[in-house]
Amino acid sequence: MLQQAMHDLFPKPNHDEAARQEFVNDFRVHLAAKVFPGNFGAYFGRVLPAFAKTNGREPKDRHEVRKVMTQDPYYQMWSLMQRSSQEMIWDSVIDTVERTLPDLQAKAKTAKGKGTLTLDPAVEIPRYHTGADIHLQPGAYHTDSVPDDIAQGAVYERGTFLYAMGGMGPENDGLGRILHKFFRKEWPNRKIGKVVDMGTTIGLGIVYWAQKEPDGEFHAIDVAAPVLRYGHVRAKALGAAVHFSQQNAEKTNFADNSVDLVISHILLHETSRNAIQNIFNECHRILKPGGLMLHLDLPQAGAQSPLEGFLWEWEVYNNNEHFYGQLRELDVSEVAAKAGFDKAKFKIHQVDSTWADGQTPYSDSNFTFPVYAAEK
Amino acid sequence: MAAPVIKLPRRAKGKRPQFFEDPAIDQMMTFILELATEVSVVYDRLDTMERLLDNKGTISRADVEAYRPDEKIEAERMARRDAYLKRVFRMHGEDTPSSDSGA
Repeated sequence: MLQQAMHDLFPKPNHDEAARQEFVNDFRVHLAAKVFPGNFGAYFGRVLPAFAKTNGREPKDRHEVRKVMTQDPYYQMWSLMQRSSQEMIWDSVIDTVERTLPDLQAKAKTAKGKGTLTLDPAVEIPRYHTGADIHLQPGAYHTDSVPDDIAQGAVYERGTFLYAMGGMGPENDGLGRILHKFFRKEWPNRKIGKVVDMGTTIGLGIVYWAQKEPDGEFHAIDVAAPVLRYGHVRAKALGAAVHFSQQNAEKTNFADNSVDLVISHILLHETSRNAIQNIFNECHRILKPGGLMLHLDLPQAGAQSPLEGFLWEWEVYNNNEHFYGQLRELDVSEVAAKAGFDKAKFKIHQVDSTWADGQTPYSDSNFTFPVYAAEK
Repeated sequence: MAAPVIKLPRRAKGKRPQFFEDPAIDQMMTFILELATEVSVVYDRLDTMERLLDNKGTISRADVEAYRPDEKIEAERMARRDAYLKRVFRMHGEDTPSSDSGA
């Protein structure tokens, strides 16, 4: 596996923990490369012909595919192994964090560096985070297990690296690189100014932006304290000046017309139908006239075939990515218009997923991320 | 006195989907995968010891704990784990049409 960069605050695995994490990684590579493609054989060679024989036609959409594919033994076995591998990621990483947490907490207390951290215990954790633990991380982003806890942030950093099988790069910041590269391609001369990263988690994306744009003022918000605490010390360890604060992107404390650029990296699909509207309303309120918002997220259903659409939604049903199902069909331009953005200034860009020379988070080199962009 | 043991959450909130009609099959697979993981860990540990012994003749537990494979050795281990996974799960898909039939 591509080796992850390990800063001072990183939860470093011991010999056997590392072996366990390497195995989970290799198992997921095996599933992706050798087992997942078999679903196409099962569908076209067995499931589709049986459906056509019974119904005199092919399945018309992914919902019909779901009904029959979930009964196929090949799919069932792949699915069970895929689900198990996701659970194994977290379990293998939690071992390391439990063992190293006292040391990490002590280092966090004395870490020197730039940036600030402002917590607000009054911020309520929204139901879309408390209802189920998103992508199966036990305790999700917001659970505190010890005072001044950073554990969930540490678990997240190593766990998401294994989730992506290293595909987000050694600093795990591929999404920040992809969005920043797109931003500078489209707006090469734009003054960076004051930037707000919504749903920052541990600041993987914003730290990269801060490193690339020394003239900017970088704010990173999230509802969950443990990931913000970890993000703050991580940013210090990496020498980035980022101001982390505990705020809900649906209702922040930034002043009206005060922000030049709002960004997010795969935030929207982890919210809700109401929340996405509130977030766009809030972006419109805090942006300066001429200010820009850029939300990078996962692909919509669009032109995907019924089978592809069904397979893309595996995460919705089996990895606690519940709102992603709705976002895949949502008319985001309507959400933006309702928030006050001029329709002519809203655009969905399909952005190249290459974050470094030929390196992408997914093995499909044609893969693109939608970026929902609007100027106020 | 030993430091208090920290316990982080281990189970994700939310209903676990059931993939097979008999839930015992779902459970059984997690047992098998955990066992497969541990066999792989033991193999890596043995590999570490063999490599250290090749170089030093005698080793301590601390040597094993401190050992980290370099890129070349990690690549060898990855290839070995790949072959191992193919062996363990070779039955899956034996009776399933090949993916060449469409996509």
